[in-house]
Amino acid sequence: MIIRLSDMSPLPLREQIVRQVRGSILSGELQEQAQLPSIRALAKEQRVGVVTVQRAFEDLEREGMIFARQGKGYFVAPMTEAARKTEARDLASRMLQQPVREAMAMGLESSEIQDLVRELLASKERKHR
Amino acid sequence: MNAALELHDLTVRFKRFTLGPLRLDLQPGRVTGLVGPNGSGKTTSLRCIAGNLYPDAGEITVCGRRATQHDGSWKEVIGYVPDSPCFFERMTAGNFLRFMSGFYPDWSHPFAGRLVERLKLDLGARVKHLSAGNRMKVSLVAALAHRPRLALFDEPTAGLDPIVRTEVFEVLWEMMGNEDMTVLYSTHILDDLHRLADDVIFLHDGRVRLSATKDDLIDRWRRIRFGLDQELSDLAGVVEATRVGPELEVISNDGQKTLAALSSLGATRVRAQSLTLEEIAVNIMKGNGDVTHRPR
Repeated sequence: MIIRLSDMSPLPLREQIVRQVRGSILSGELQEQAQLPSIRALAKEQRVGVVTVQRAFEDLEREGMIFARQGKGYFVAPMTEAARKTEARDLASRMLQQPVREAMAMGLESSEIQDLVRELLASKERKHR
Repeated sequence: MNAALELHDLTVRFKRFTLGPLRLDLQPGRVTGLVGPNGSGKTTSLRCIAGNLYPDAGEITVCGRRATQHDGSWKEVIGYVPDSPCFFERMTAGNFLRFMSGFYPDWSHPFAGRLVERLKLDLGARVKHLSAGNRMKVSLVAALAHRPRLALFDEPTAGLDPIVRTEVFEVLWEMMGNEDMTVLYSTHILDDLHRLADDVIFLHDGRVRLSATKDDLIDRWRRIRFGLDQELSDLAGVVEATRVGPELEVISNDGQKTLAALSSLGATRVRAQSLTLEEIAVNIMKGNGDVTHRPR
């Protein structure tokens, strides 16, 4: 799992950690029962305070993404492939609401927005190849 | 576990300025930023804790050791980087460090050597010939070579060029991996604390104006824009309101409360944004920490 935190992002550091760890879990990169780095190790590696990492892990625990074992640290919670997909879909749907609303406010038709998304996906796929 | 530092009604009186009474309780392993304008008492507080200045009243306890005038053992677990380090200018950096090592039973020569290497310090140079950056590095090694349990930094990055500043931070981060070290870090460069700090204490005029966990501040403060077809009266959490064209922009120190109030008022196009630590600090220093609504 590679975490990259940005000081330029409008998102607080804690939220950036939550999103990136969640992303690694939902994509399947972090498998269930995998152990997360210790709070102190991650704080040191990412150059952030221990409280920030602690809170981020607590957020992920509340969401059911990870769980704590007394004195052993945090582990990825068991989740079926289907549950992971549903979760990712829900999150993405919520994240896309705002930009879609703004695009509509600028007078774009739904077909134009769909075309835009298709073009974006195509260019991403080109880059990945 | 003992608190790393406890201040109990610490008070220092000068002719024109009184520090305190300060109450403080730092938990082990946490980094606390001490923030405040010039003259708010940051340096005086640190000097007292380091034992360079005797308070007029109050108690200081460091890792369970009471600070007293006849027993200096509490100083052995402290590492102190003062705002203007006092050196013997004609000594070489190496001799100065050797001299300092005599005061600390836990001084580690190998560790001091590693720090010197990391910071690329020339130990043969006389202190008076060192640049500001290198003086800071000598001071840093002198403060950390005994692996203090409480490290006090008084504006360590003030006046440093970005390269030295980064080197200083790298050493700090290296040390932070050590759970035993608690840090009290005074600065007015909020950028320094954005990543580093767990807690922040705002000093103003010798008193604590606000003491909070950094992430709580980041969670709670919001800039909120919205449309409202009525005059804005008191709104929960709002410390400042400005009209921006047809909309209102408010700064809130309790975003959730304000958003709830706005939704019951029927506000439209509500957008909330987090504030940077710098923006939050400016608001707290302006006296906006308490809920006061100032219409414009």
